[in-house]
Amino acid sequence: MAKTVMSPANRARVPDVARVEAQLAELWREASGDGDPVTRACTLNLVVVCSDGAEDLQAATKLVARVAETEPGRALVISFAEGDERESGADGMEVYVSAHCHRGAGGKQICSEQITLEARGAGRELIPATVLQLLVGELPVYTLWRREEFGRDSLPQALCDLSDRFIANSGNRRDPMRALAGLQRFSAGVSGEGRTADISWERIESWREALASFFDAPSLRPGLNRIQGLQIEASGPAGAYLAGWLASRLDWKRDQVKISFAPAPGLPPCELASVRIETEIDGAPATLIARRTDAKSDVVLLSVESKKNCPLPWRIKLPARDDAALLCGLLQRSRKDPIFDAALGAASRL
Amino acid sequence: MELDRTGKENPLRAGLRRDLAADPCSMVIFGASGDLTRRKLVPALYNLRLDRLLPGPGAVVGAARREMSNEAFAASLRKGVEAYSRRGIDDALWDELASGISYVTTENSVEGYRRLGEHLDRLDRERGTGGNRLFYVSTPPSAFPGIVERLGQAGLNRPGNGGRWARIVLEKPIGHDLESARELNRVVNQVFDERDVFRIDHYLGKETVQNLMVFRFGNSIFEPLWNQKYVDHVQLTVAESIGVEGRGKYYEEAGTTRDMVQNHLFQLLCLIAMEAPASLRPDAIRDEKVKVLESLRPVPIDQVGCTTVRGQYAEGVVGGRKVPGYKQEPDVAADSRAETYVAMQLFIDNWRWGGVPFYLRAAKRMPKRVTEIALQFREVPHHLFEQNVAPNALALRIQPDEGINLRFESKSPGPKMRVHPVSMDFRYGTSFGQQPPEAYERLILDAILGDSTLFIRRDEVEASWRYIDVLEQGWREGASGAGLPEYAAGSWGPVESDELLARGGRKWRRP
Repeated sequence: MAKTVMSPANRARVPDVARVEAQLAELWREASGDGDPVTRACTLNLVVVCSDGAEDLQAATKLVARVAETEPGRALVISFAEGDERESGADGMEVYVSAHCHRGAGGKQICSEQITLEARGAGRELIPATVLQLLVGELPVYTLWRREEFGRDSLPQALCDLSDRFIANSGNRRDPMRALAGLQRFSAGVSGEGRTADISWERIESWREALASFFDAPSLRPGLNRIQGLQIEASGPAGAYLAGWLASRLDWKRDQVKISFAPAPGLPPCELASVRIETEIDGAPATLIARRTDAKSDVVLLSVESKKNCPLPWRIKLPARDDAALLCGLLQRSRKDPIFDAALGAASRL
Repeated sequence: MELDRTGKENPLRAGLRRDLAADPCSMVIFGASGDLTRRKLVPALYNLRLDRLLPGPGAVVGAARREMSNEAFAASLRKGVEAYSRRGIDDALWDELASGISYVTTENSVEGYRRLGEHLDRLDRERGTGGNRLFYVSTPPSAFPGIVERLGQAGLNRPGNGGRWARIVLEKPIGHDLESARELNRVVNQVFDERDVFRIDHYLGKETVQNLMVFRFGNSIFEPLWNQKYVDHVQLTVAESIGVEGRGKYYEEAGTTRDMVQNHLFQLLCLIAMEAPASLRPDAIRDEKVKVLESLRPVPIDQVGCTTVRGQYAEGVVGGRKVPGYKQEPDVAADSRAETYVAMQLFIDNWRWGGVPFYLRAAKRMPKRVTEIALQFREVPHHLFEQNVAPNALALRIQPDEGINLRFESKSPGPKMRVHPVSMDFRYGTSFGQQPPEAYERLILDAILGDSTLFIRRDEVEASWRYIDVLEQGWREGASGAGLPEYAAGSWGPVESDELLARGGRKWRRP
């Protein structure tokens, strides 16, 4: 379990990178405690841009701590201070450093670092240059955008330009479908270039595997080209992503397949409850169904209904993955995901 | 047979983390009442299902001589999964797996195997196993030929209705010398095509062993140094802290050379010494491994005693406990000559390694369990500094605390030019936080996928036995009346082993 050791704020109008690095070194010495040596592990840079409010900063710090256990690195967490939260009239940035430590293999204490940048007023304009100065060289850079909007100012574009991947979480937004559409527009912009990703897309991967597995069997594969109907019960953008994925992979033309969505009450945000695919195999109608065994279950029953010979139903267990685990999944992927890009485009058109 | 690894046939597989689609199949385990099934095979199958790497619902058939009901068999396998699986048991998933578990009492008759075939046909209809069969032979080696022959006679070497394949997996040891290995291979290949034969060495399923290929051939900086110009010698160590653990009878026949050198150590040797393959096709890799074995410099029979050391552990202290000596173990003869320690010096006569000694050692009752490969580089051609600088060493730790360590010299802070060795360290545990799959998970999945890269080919087996046979003959002919040198359990082996390296001005690493 990670612990966070906060140091006193390193106040500076313009952050001095050298002071931040020295502060981190001091922090690791403190974290060593009773001669218990600390291993600093760093495999990537993770830039996290928080929504407004202190609560999201706390949530982002917890997320970073969890991610650090699997993907150790340097996290740059950016939050925005407004109004009376800081000295009035003072523009600029305050910098804090902290370390997330956990026991790794062999009982060693492994630490990753977090640098928190609290920007206010005009300090916001300093963020891209400050992030650039604080990145650990020659390691990949991932930006996690936790804010509602993409397009209001130049900050997301500037950070995307620094990043190998720019990651959103449309399912967590107040209006997930609007967030998905916004991500698609952002992604299609000049600097998007296939570097965007969405945690909501990662969340449905096991469902995609499950549906793909129907068509692994040669006897069912002809059904891929004869899909006539798709019914999805889902919350948030999960259904749109799933439909967009199928449409883009199978090159569906407009109105070729009748697609319908139904809400799934009781499901957490951005989850699927069931998928029904109506197709034709060997001249006979067939329905391929993937359905949770109940609303709260993480077991999905896969079955085929057809007058012809069809396989026995079988179960799969969905991996329990929270946002931290899903983010780790994205960090482990190769940089570009053209399958996602195509699915995002198709989903936004649905 | 080309594997469909890219979703070319199923476009929905493209881009998925799990883009490999395994065929549904029945897995028949011969010797199912043994330990391996409970501790390794079924936990591996369970974890593969948990990771959605095997299509459901599937079937597992236990085949053994002992009578047992389906329920009792499934219950014993569940206990094995609870005890040995790297992840906890999920009841719903287990129940589905268990509904496909059955047990068949096999007689040593073709008729018995025909009934097995009828059972498999029924499973195809009831469990959707698609006519594909994986036969896993986990019996004593003496039973292999009979099982294989009867499978052939019963027609089970061919897929069932609608199936694409029937494959056989054989556990080590494959024979106990060249002649028996050749005979077994002959029997197996009379019944199964070589592409359907999967000979297991579970070391090849370990992540860190697979990483050897990536390390060597995925980085350009090491390859120019990986040869006789820069490498002084190579040490390979497979050390276990446990004793024979009640397998005295087996060990009396086998000894450490047959138990650990002929398979694990020689496989590591091949991976460390081989040339880069032209591709990742299984045979492209295995061709290069065989070349290493065929380049081993033959040892004259009368020189075997000079280039090898064998020993037996005496009583000692391991893990803070007193432990008995080998000869005090059950089923071990008082005058036993089976070795529990073996070390050898060998040479690979090719352009890359000409003149570089490889020192291999494998042993029981060592101070700790460790498997390691270390390349010791040559000394600097000219010593500039007052102190002697130690040669660089690159150590690849296979288990435990998996990782790679490079030792080099650095200046100590201060006014004088003083040098001090330091380490550059990569540890799996700190850089990759995920728990890797167990070796058997990878190997069983690959056998079902038909990927033989991590399995031993027929000629590899025979080439390694050819070398070992000479050593065994040399030991027999050179045997004096005295027993083998002893070493205290918990020590790093007999003093004679240190002398083996000291002759070349070298010494064993202390891992």
